[in-house]
Amino acid sequence: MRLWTMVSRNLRVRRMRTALTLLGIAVGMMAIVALMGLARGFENNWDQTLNARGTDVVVNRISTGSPIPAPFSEEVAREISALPGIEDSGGVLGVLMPVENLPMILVTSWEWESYIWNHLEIVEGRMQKNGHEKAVLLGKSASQMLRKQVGNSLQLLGSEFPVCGIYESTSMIESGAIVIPLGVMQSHSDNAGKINFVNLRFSPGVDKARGREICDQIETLHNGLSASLASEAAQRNSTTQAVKGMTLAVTLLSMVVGLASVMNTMLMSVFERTVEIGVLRAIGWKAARIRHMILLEATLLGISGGVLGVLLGFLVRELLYLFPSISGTIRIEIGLEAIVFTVLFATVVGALSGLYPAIRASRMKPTVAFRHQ
Amino acid sequence: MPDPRHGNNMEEPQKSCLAETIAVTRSYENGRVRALRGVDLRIEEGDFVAITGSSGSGKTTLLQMLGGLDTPDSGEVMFRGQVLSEMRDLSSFRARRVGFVFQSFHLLSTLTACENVQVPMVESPLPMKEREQRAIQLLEEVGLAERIHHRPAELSGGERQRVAIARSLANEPDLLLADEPTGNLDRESTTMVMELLNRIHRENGMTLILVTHDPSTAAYAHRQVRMSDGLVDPNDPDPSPGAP
Repeated sequence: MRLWTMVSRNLRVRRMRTALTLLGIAVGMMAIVALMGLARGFENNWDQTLNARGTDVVVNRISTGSPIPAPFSEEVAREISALPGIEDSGGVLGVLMPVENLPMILVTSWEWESYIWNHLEIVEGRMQKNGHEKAVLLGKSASQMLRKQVGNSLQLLGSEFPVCGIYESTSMIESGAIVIPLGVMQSHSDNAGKINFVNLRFSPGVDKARGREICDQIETLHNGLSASLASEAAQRNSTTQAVKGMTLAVTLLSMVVGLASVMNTMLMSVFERTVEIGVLRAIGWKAARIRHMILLEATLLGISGGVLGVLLGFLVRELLYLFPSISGTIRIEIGLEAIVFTVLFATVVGALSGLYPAIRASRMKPTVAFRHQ
Repeated sequence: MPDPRHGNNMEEPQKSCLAETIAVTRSYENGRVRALRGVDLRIEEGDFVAITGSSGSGKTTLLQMLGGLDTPDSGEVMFRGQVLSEMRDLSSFRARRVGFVFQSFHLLSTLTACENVQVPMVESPLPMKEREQRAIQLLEEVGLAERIHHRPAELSGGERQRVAIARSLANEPDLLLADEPTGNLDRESTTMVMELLNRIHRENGMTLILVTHDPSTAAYAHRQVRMSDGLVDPNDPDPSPGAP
């Protein structure tokens, strides 16, 4: 018989309580793992998008909270593209909005004849004929989500747009988006002369260090704008930042909930076992071993809650993916680091919550063993 | 001339002293309850002593003092010449020197008989396998070979107490302390448990102190000490075996 045997039996014998405590920890851990996966999904998605376009730098207004940064004048784009080291540039105006049956979809518009258009692979229909044609290109998953084919028309920005073509893109964001020429977007959304992103491509020979200098230069010249290298843009993206902020908040919240829940359970368990602990002390167990036993129980609750939380995270992801509007636009990438972090975090929370009950238990008097039950 | 500190049994002065209380006092609730009021008692190696007395006479408190579970307000408790209150680690004293048997058995309900017997051995350096073998052997000795893997809930009261006795012997103690060991048992189980304790005393030469208010249980002891109002009653010396 090992100490471990006693610890695991103590938890197993109070099944309902153990299960409820585990659930209390696991729900928090599930949220952590899912949000971490969401942040990572956004990052990778964004990364892929910029890579697919061949974009080296993204310029946008510094904004907080909102997933789509505020617009600014396209004149700025022209000034930036004239800087040394910049080979190509393209203005982008994108918005997230409800379209027909979808509660939220990315409608993006690109400066006509800019390099951004080059990476699109039209699989059905054709591109817009010119920068003023009022027609939309649909990404492959967008066309599935909207149930629209070439030749159908789409209610967008208050008027009817025919679908002229369907494209494929390695970027999930783009595959789930609607693309129109920048001029058409500007005139139909009251944003004449405005964009909210500039995509830039460096001239050949510009290395990372030089690239950083160019970014700094842009930020100095245009107060209030942020210029990020593609490799860092994903992390600096406001959506990624927002999800990360949310993850932190949920992590703190689940720490408090987990601590309270495990501590409550362990305190209850310790008080119920006053006589049992007294007997163990009477027959020679040291106070340190009692502490050890209670800490082990709390830690075991933590680990199990963490593992259960990760499993629930995967389950929730699969449930969310059942909705086409989510599976077509959002990736929840639960990586090894999220799993390890969550389980370790839950373990630490469990162990911390066991400290006080363990100290209380180790101070119990052995003479209670003589109380007759 | 008998030493007044040494209780009232001077029958076999050649025997060495195992445990001794010298003018031990202990009170509770800020002195309102005086459980022990200066108890002198000497326990020889190999003694079988019954401490009797009405409830509240201080017999259980005295047992706790002898077992190193509680410390006196004044006076000394000695074990083989060592003062208990000066020992650095009373829990290892309890683990190695003393075995306890309680009225309510106090077995751990989640563990089997065999595992319960191994609980005190958690503090011993014996390897796992040997602990298990020793537990099985002890259970065989108390006549529970068939009950090794049963949980306490699956055992009768008498069987539970026998598991508890096996547990008390786990670390080969020098002194066995039993607090009303038959208090929760029927007549038949009482006889069985007392015969067992008697056998352990006889065959292993184990020093045994039991607290009881049942005269027929006390009669198994070779010496009875009567407690009254926190003191050993000097008017009731009864060293003769078999007396009620």
